[in-house]
Amino acid sequence: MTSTQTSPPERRDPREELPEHLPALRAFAISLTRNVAVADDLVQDTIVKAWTNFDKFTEGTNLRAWLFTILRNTFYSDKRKHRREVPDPEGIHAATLYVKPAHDGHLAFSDFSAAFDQLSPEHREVLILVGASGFAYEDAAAMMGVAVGTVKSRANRARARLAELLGLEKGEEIFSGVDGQTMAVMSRSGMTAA
Amino acid sequence: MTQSTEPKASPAEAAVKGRGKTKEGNRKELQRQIDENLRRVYEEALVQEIPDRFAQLLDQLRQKGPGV
Repeated sequence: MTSTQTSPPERRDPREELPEHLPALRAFAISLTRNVAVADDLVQDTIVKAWTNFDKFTEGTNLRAWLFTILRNTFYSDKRKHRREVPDPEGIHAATLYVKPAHDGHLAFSDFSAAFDQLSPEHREVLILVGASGFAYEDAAAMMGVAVGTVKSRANRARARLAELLGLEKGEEIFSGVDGQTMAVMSRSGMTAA
Repeated sequence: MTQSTEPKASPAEAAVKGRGKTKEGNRKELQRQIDENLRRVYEEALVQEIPDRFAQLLDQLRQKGPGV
């Protein structure tokens, strides 16, 4: 990236790169909170914290991962501090799902979305990090402060829970009861790859 | 002789194999759809317009200077 001869070695202030990461940061916040207003407050807190702690950022490392880490740490520490119920004006968390299994195959996005809303934040987090936002397991593990193996098993449990919420688990054994062998098969087939 | 045993065994085998394949196919298809839906959840949030408050916040922070 910086190998062009003519361009001087850019010592760009990483603060200037922050706006580029805002959409991803906000998408992660919305995925975690499932509430845009709460997500925006979380992003605001994250920006302020990042800005005042940029001296702790190691230049040349993954800025997005660093920002994501601040955001998820802020999210969980807020949750611990307030121990309040997540405001739920739309009632999305309250609804109980009884979606019929889609044996012929098609998962409606609205059903999926409703099931995703019902997952725990920890499960939403791991699925978004490794399944949607394109981070490697190693990056996700560093962000979450856990071992890579923990990320994998949490992702599998999250998938199993998602399948259960979608009514896909009965008689299907698609994601439930995932054992070592199944996990090995799943990772071989690249199914859990980010 | 061989012709009489083979057709007997084959249909059953084929049925088992066929069912296995279909099950595996369904499983893969569902996994694919789950992954696709996960990306869609994220991408729907990703393409939303960023509220002005963040540009304003960054301006404020810049004016205060680094490390404040």
